[in-house]
Amino acid sequence: MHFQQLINGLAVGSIYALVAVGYSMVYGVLKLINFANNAFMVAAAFLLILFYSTWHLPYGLAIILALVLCAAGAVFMERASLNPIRKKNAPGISALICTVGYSTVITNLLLYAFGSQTIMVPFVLHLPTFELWGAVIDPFTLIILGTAFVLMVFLTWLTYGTKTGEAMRAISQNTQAAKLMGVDVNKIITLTFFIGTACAALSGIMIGIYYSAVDTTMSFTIGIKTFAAAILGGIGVLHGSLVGGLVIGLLETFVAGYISAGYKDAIAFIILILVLVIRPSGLFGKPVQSKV
Amino acid sequence: MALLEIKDMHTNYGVIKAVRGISFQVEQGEIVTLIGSNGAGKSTTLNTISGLVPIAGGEIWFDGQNITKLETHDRVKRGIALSPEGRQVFPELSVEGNLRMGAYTVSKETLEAEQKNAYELFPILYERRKQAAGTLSGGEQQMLAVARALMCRPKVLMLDEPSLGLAPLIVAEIFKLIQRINKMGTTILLVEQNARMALSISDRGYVLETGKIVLSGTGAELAADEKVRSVYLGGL
Ligand SMILES: Nc1ncnc2c1ncn2[C@@H]1O[C@H](COP(=O)(O)OP(=O)(O)OP(=O)(O)O)[C@@H](O)[C@H]1O
Ligand SMILES: [Mg+2]
Repeated sequence: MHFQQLINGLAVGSIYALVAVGYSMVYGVLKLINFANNAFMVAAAFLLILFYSTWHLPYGLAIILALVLCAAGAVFMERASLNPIRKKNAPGISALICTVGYSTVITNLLLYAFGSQTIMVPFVLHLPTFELWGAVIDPFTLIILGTAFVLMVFLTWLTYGTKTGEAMRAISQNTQAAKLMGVDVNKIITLTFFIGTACAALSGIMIGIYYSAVDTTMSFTIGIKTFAAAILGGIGVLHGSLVGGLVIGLLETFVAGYISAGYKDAIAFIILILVLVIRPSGLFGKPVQSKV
Repeated sequence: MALLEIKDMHTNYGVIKAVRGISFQVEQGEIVTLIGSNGAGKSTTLNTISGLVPIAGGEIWFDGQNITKLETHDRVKRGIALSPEGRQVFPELSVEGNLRMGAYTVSKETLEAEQKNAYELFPILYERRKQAAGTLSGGEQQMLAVARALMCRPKVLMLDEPSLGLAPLIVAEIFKLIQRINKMGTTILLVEQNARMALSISDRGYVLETGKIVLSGTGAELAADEKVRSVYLGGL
């Protein structure tokens, strides 16, 4: 029983973590909460349905197309709207509300195209469940854990082991100075949107397969939880998102398992509030320092 | 032909006209200083040359080419480096990481060679190489900012108040270093409040007043000028 909850919690948590990474990466370079992140997450699951179930494209291709299309959508948002807003030196809140706008438009488009009912997300591998230490393991949870692990390793390498990653961190610390070093800041920002959104989109597909269903309200329900995960860990910090996602995933699974499914969202947020009162910048976030 | 030529440059911040039609040149190998009181438009001038703030009118020519429309990173690639006002080091990157960022546009070989040079010019940076730049003292951060700007082997190095907030002894050291960097072949465009010291090492200088150039001459001429002496050299 405990082990079962642990595995389920880890699976859900690592999906949350990957969505949180999407928020966190963009926040790192732009100090912007990209609220469209959650809409792209859900859109990916719907696109998979469209490409695979309706258009009968090969499954792998359908997934890749869905990911690339969502990431490209985020890049479009950045190029067509966020970049011009930044150029005019608008207050940060303008860009933020712009992402809320995109989120709403995308969710509405999905509603229009797919309707409001819950749709089954297809999965082609028929892997038999097996038993381990008294728990019934759905092999797909192992795929989720493996994917999350590989992606986190990749992102850590990208951020801390490459020149591009160092440029991302430099932009996050001082954008003007990064420009003066010869960094093409807009190019790095575009790349960040692409990678962050691709992560969120992949999570959307995985969560759709995990629950075998997707509907447009997930943009809100999972969106708010994963955003909370990013804040809990310390937004802008990569491993913070990982820990934040896992904590919320495990908490809600254990609460649902041992107390009541009805309380699971509330408990996750009570923990979030408690942590923020004690550590306002999240578990791994650096305290905000005002510049002298 | 001058290495850097500014032609009738204007820069605005909204309705504020910070630079109003200035023209000047910097020749290859020179040290040129811009002096002026607070708010005269010195930093704005350097930031416009770097492309950090948009130009409102006029042209910037560098190395025989019109660079007016280029973005900052392309200007850096062509050899224009700025050590900005207030140091602006990357606080959470180590000294080494800051220097690596300085060499962002150049090859790994150049990075290694220039890093060696930097540590030779500023031995204290070698001692602190693993330390986060935000934990350095003000003087050390200033040295890091200068060293970082040199990493890309710029043709012209622009320095915005490199002596700001430093102890007199360190100021003298910084000015000696600027001369040394210049002797090694880098053209320097300097902005300084410390006009006496700056003019003493400069080939030429310009005096900025509310966004306009009101006086120009050799370093010695300006240092001897009545008006400059009374306004910028504290009446001595
Ligand atoms: N970001 C900005 N927004 C609006 N006005 C600005 C901005 N930066 C500078 N200014 C204004 O432009 C004018 C020139 O400023 P600038 O910083 O270029 O002066 P400076 O000569 O470098 O002064 P200092 O010696 O104090 O550094 C000033 O009137 C200043 O208030
Ligand atoms: Mg200034």
